[in-house]
Amino acid sequence: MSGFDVIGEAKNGEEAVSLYITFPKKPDIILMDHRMPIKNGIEATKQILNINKKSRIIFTSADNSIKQEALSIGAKYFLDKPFSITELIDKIKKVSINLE
Amino acid sequence: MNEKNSLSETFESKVLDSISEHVIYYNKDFEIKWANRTAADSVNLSPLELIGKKCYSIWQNRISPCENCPVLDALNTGKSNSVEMTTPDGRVWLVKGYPVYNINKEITGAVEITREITDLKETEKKLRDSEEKYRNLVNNILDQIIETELDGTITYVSPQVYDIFGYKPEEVIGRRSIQFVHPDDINIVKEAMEKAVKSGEKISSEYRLKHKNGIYVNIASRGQLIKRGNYHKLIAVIRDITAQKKAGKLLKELEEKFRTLAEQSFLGIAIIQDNLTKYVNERLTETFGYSIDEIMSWQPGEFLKTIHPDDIKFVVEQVRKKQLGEPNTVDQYQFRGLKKNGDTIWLEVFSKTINYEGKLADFVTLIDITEKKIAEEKLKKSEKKYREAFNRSNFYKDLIAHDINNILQNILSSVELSFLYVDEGKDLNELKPLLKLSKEQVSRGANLISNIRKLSELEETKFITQPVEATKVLNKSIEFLLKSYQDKKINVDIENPYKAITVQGNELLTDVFENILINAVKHNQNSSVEIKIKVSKIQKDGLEFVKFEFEDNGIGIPDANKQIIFQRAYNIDRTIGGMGIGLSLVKIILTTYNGQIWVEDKVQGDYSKGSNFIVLIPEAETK
Repeated sequence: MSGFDVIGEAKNGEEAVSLYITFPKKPDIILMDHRMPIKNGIEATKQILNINKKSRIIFTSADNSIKQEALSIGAKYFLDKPFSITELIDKIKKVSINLE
Repeated sequence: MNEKNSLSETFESKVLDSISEHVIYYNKDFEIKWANRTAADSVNLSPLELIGKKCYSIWQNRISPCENCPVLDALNTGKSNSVEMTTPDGRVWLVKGYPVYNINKEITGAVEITREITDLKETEKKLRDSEEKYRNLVNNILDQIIETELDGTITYVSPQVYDIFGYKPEEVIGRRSIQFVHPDDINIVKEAMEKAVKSGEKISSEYRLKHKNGIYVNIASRGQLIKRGNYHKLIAVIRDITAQKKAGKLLKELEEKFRTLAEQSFLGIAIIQDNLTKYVNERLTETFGYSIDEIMSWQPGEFLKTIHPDDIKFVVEQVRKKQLGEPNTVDQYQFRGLKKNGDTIWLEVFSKTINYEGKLADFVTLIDITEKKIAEEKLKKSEKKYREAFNRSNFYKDLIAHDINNILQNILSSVELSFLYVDEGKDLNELKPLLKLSKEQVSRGANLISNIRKLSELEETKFITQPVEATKVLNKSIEFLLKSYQDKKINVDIENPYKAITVQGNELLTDVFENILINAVKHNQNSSVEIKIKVSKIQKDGLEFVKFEFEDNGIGIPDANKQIIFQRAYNIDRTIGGMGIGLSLVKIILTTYNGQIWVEDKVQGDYSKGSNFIVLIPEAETK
């Protein structure tokens, strides 16, 4: 709707990393939840940033306690749930500014 | 007169022959003119064989007279003399020489009278040696020896009188011993002296004697009457016991102090020696409930009955090591004791090896710490409870914050998207999925809150179990499931050979079945949810159980998660996991029933084909 396409969805952190690896063209932005089965968002974020430190990750979580950690490891923004669509699109646009 | 045998026949010569002394008459030239039989026999010669000989050649084997010869001296000086001589055979003689005068007072010869004094000399020597020994003893012992007449007049004191009393012996000899006695002790001394004289036995007594400096000295005396012919004397040995008395007094004071402290102490105190109880204080008797008399009459080792059987080995080992002086002995430790009434008490003991009445003993102090132990236990339990409550509180806080927020997010997103769709003029039918999602989230929220409440109640109160008709509850749960997911294709197949099944449960059995069924639908991505329920009976550990198997075609559960999903949620890392506490609630409920739950793969080895939840609930006893 706002000019962005969702190219993939993962059910957990493990799947997220695997999916990222398989993409021939990496996603411009990743929306990362935190509390997921098998691997959580923080671990998945670290791994993805290890593969490509330019990855743009927007953290979204109902668990506010990991906000500082998420930002410190490289997430661009942290959205506290519940957040509105407007807030989400706003953050996506901000992150997209310097996209090539 | 025929000097050769002028005396041989006379009465005098017969008399002289019968005495035991040697009698020899010499002429002026010191030749033997006559000798009695005794003299001749002493050298195994006859009197006639001695005539004309020199005595020194016969008795001394000499060629010249002996030095200091009294006979020669008598011949030369005209004076009688005597001397002691030892012959080569070791015998000792008292030799006396007497000059013989004629009527003109001219020396015509000399008479020798000799008596053997060998035995006398030996006796004298023994006596001298004995006296020497006695003198050394008397002079070197610390005690004083005193000799008195029967009336107490001092006739002898040993030199120690100076060290003990400051007097020189000559200052006291001749004085009455009673003069030196403390006025209050005079009767003691008089009685002792009278008893010694009357009985002839050794009499001991203690009294005070005055030192030259005026101070009285405490002494112990042991005296006896010695009677030897005309010798009647009282002899006593006197010892200065001032230091001993002082030490004894001090010891008594210390003992008194110890007893006072021990009796007032709140610590139980005991002295154990040779496995016997030598001393206990009041407090210790109160601790164990035995009287002092009872404890003091225990046989060796009987004190062990105050130690709990489980702790005897340890305590006895410490006592043994201590008494042997072994290293690594524990001085202070806790153990369980047993009172007379059989009650167990906790005691803290401190023991030390001491010297008691000349032997090693155990000095034991102990304190009853039963109340302290109980308080510690209570505190531990209380801390545990607090910790659990704290953890629970944190868990619920987190649950509500996180899970509710997620639910709200879903509702918010659905609502916002719905608005967007309306603004964009989309067909109302396109809103349906969003509205449905919102509705589901509300149910989810309600469910979550309901589960939290039940979980909380289960942890805080005890639910009673009773016989419950399980088939009815199962059927109702299936009904609820189908109503809740009307838009999903759900097939539930039941294999139940029993008309009615009664289990030991309660109203929460519904939650057990509903949660399992809802999970089967929630974690299923197929277009059609297939659930197969099998009911059977088994025996396990001697008990009858009803077995419910819930097999689904859902996404399955990897082996790594098969345990985690049931764990009490606030004990695990909730950052790895999804939402909800349904299965942990199910497990807790079943635990209260003494039942069980676990999950297996529908197809062994391939979890992705679906799961099989297995539930065991005790079968209720039918009357």
